Amino acid sequence: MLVQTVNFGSLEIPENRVVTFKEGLPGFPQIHRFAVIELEELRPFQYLQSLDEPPISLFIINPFLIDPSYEFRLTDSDMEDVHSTNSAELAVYAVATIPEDSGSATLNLMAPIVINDKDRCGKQVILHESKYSVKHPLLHDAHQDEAKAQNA
Amino acid sequence: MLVFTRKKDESLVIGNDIEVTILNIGAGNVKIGIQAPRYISVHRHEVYEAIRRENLAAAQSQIPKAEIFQKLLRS
Repeated sequence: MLVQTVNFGSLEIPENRVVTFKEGLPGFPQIHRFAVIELEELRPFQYLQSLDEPPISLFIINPFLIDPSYEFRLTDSDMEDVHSTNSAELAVYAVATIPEDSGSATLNLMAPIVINDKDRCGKQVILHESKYSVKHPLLHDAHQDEAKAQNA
Repeated sequence: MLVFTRKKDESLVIGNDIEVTILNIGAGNVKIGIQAPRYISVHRHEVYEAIRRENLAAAQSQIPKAEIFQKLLRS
């Protein structure tokens, strides 16, 4: 299907790339179909594009690239929602919030997006008892290094 | 809004398959147990609200600028 994206014009999405989010996303409960779009110029970001109204898109990224120690536990009901019994087969993404000043971009590590590529279903999981923030600095280390350098 | 008064260990039934039990009453907080089918998601309001707001903000994101890619590659 041909999809009008928010930022990248119209893109052809094969039907077998459509991912269903049964509950939608918090804030967008009415959107159930999305596609993960990979564009060379966006790497390491990917693009989660809604295929239902309203047309929204989210920049997503592999959270382990930003925090290699990132970890969380999926509940049985989360696993059921993504039709999976093996968390190793799931793809994990974090949603990025990128303001005009890209340097202050943040990642939502409290609510990762989990996708079962085999069954094409996904869920934004809410980590209740987690230490992770909805606004984890994307360039955390770089900023800390800069601050340290300035203080030195 | 429906308002009920409940004592410790008393509960409420919502619909046919949701039960809310007052487990403990402390000073300034109550411990609540919820028994519901798995397809019903239950979240702390403030947590759900923070995530809802962050998703709305994320949907307004700008296309990341070149500097961000350079910094990501460097770190």
